[in-house]
Amino acid sequence: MLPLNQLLVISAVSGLLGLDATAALQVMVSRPLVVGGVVGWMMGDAPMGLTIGSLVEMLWIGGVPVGSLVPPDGTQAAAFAAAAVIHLRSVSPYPGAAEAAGSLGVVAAVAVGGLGARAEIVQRRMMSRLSRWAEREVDAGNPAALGRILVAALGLAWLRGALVCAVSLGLGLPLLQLLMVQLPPEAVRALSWCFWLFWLLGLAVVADHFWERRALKHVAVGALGLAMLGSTLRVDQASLLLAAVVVAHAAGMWRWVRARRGEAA
Amino acid sequence: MKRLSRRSRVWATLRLLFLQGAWNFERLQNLGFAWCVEGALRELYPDTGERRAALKRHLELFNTHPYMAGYVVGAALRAEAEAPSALQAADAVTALKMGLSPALAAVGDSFFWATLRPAAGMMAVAWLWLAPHPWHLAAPLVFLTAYNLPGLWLRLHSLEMGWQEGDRVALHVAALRLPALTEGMRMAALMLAGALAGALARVAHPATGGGVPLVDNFLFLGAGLGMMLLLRLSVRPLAILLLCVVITLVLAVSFPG
Repeated sequence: MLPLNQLLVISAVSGLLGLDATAALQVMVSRPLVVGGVVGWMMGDAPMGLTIGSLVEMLWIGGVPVGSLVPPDGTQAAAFAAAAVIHLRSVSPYPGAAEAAGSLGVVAAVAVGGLGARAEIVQRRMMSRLSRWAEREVDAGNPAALGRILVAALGLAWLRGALVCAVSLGLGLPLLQLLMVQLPPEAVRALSWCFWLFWLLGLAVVADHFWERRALKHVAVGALGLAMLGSTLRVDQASLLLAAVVVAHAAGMWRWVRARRGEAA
Repeated sequence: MKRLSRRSRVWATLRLLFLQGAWNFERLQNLGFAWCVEGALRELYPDTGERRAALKRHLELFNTHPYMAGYVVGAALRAEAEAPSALQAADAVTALKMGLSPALAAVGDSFFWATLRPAAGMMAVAWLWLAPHPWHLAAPLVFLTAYNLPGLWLRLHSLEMGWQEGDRVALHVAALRLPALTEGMRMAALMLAGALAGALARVAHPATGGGVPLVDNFLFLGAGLGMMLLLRLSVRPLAILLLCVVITLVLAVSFPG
């Protein structure tokens, strides 16, 4: 189990970052990619936290908060997954334990995301009372109370995120640790393979999210081209592949520029 | 037309960052909207009764994309400023809010939530895997920069545009050609996803440095295409996640060592 002070600090920070998801700023520091890195850094392994966070980011990439739809809480899910992987990776003596812990953490994070969404629904219902309170204050000629009510709402949102994270880490981590210790070597090996398959699944989720028949050729060119290059290039040449990133985005921007020019003409 | 100082407009822009602070199921973003315009209404309506009536009107149901809300706030404040009294502004402001909000929400949801954010995320994931060490750790910065440059630009100038253009602000938003940019970014993100899937079998794990322990990168890619097919058939990602666990367990038990 995590030391209590570490659990509390991670929960407090995760709750704070979670405010960014809906309540405040929305500059996306609440996204799993960022949260995973932050939690990883707090636990002494930023690269691992970042890796798990980016995996959760891809799996949750289609979670769009449209209207009153509450998507799974990616912030708390990523915080839990990153903490779980870093905490559990050395629990099992078998090879592939780090990747196996990653798989377990990600599967458990799905449940944490669902728990977070439930908690947010409860919190939003409570916010309705704050809205009615605000109306009473305005009727009473006290518009300055709006600011105080908003601060109360932000406090409630922070508390919800921190609580979800604390409960998940406090109850979920010991359970996962128990499970990890009991796993036979075959199961550890299977889960370590799963970790890589989850990455593929993440990419498939992204491709599905952006799916468009007309863009099929772009996916095909990207996948086949890089699969070919991957077979012939050495790993330390991977930075060359960054060119693919630039080219892809330049291609996207070009369409926009052309559309704008078309309008001007 | 009543005058509204630049200072009030800047304050309203900053308060917009907390538009969804008290999001609730009954009236959605109403409280955030009311708090956002409260300072400006103080300047527009020195009379307490008028101010109260205007503020109460802004506590009615309101919902749009949080990044596009600046246009609505700016246009609504202009309508308040143009009307001779708070009572006479009521219909114009309500009609403006009701008319602009859903259209801007659709544009914002499609561009920011469904396109720019996933595309920036995909770019950061590609950066994490492909950038030389230790630069790969800058992936969150890549994500935040790629996402926030257009996002913050729009948020900081939208209220001003709404104030200047009034009810014609929709034309300004249309001129941004966001649907065309959306299409371009979707293609770029798809290309990146395909590229990373192709390269994944040959690059090292960003944290452990290990590689894919599977047989062949084309086989690995084939598994990805299989997952993609399942997703197109509306199989939920969670089901595929569990399917992966079951299949690898069967394989690990069938082929020990």
